[in-house]
Amino acid sequence: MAILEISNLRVRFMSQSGIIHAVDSVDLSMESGESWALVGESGCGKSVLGMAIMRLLPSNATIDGNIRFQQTDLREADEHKMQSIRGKEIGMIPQNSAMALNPVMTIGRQVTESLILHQGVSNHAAEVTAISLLESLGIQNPERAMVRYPHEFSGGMRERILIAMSLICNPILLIADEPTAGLDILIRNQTLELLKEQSQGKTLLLITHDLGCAHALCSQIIVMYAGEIVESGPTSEVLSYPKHPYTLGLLASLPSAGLHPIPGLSPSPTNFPPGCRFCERCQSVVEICYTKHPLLRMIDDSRQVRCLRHD
Amino acid sequence: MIELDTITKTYSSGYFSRDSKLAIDDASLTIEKGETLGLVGESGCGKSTLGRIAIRLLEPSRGKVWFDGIELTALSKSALRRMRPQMQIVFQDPDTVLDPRMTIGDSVAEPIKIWHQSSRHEVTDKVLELLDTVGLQQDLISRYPFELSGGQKQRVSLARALALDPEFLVADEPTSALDLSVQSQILCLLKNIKKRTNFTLLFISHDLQVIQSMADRVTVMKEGKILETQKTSDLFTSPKHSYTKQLIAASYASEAWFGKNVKDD
Repeated sequence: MAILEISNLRVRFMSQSGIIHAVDSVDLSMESGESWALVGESGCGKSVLGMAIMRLLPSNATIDGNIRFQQTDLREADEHKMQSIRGKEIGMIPQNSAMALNPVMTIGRQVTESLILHQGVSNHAAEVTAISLLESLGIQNPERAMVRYPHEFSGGMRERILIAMSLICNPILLIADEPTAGLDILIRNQTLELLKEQSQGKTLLLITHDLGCAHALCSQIIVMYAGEIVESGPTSEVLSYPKHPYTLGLLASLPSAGLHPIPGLSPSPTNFPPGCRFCERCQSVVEICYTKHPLLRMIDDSRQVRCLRHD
Repeated sequence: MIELDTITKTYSSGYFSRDSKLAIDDASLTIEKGETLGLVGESGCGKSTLGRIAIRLLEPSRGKVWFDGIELTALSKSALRRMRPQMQIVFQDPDTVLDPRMTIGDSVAEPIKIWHQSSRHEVTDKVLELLDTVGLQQDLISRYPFELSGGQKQRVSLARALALDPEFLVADEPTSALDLSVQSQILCLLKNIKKRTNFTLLFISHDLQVIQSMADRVTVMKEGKILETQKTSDLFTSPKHSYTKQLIAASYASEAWFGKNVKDD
């Protein structure tokens, strides 16, 4: 049975400039132990999807559709129930390590907090667990680190502290939102190795715009564009043989592929075009793309594409 | 064109500046006219500090900076001010560069109004021309920064930097806050403009792949020291320093496997 089952999920925000369609008709089913990457450019709705699962969206958001985590319907669950799930059963590595940590709390208190709250262990026992976890994440002198403050650590070290915080209760599902953003290449690769090691046996949902990161950590990939899934399937297949013009464009814009940018901008989320949302920027656009909205189709056993050329 | 001669920079902090940190240690480099020099290194290695010293936005603790035969570090404040139009910089984070209360048009016009005595009409024409150069639509002229995406804001700050036709441009991680597809748009734009106007470019980045696609020569920095400078193609085929080898291996390991399939397509 699936650990996380999302069906027909829609997230909209009410704003002064109109209704923002952040996520549209997203289906996702993750089995135990699977690792999925969610990739796409900023504003495509990938972080909103992560926040919707955790029920951390602001009050002007409307969520439709179903999110089921194990036996629990996360859309129906009350705040009390959600608190017992967040941090305990679903761990989250939030975006931007500089903002995510509390600047006036010691690392020790921040890392042990959820263990003490969720499992009722003593402060001392929690500290022992935290120290060994920090050590396994490559933080030198973890006893000393416990009494220090976030500003005393570099970006790479802060990222490790966030990983420790998300893992300390041994969650079943781990949601990692841009865990390598802002890190330089050597530190990024170290962080990837650590995440790979630590997420062994867990179900992982990785939100990123770094395709290398997705490839290193996840066996499955979902490409999002303008709030919709445009392509999904096994990571190596999708990245080696992309089917959707957007995935193709994304790969071609890598510096190593010769830097061929996708022209134009993504459409405004308050006013999507009636046809394909990518049509204005697409290299292989045909007339019908402007009027007919494509559906996400299975093209073989494991892959899905939302493109009229594959209908 | 640009010459940095044995630059050292120390930052001091604490009471009576008791703690000091050596940010740049005896760094020298030259940039030829019209060349793109890539400066690469991990965060905290001093590459941004060096970039700022190159146009004397920061004072070096020791050492000299030469610009087209003029010793920048010996100039008085007012003489330096007169040199400013010739050297410009594009910063990493486009959000903090633009004044949130100024329209895009006013932001781009500001340097022109300060340096040229043009009529309002001429200024507007020049602004529209610049917006066109950086690939922005003309109607953005009356918008505010919060209405723009990150990529658009970075284009605006590029337009500002180009407004006075500088001879030397420092680009300090201009795309590291941007997405993949936007990054390649901005990099291509920078390349195309450079082809037309042929300014000298110091391109700072921690991403070796980006550097490879932009630079004629590359300087590698670590912990405030310059390790090596080579032609880009030579650096990738025969890196001299073990740290450079490590960087190249790391950046290939992460991306080498895709790219090629797209080229086949």
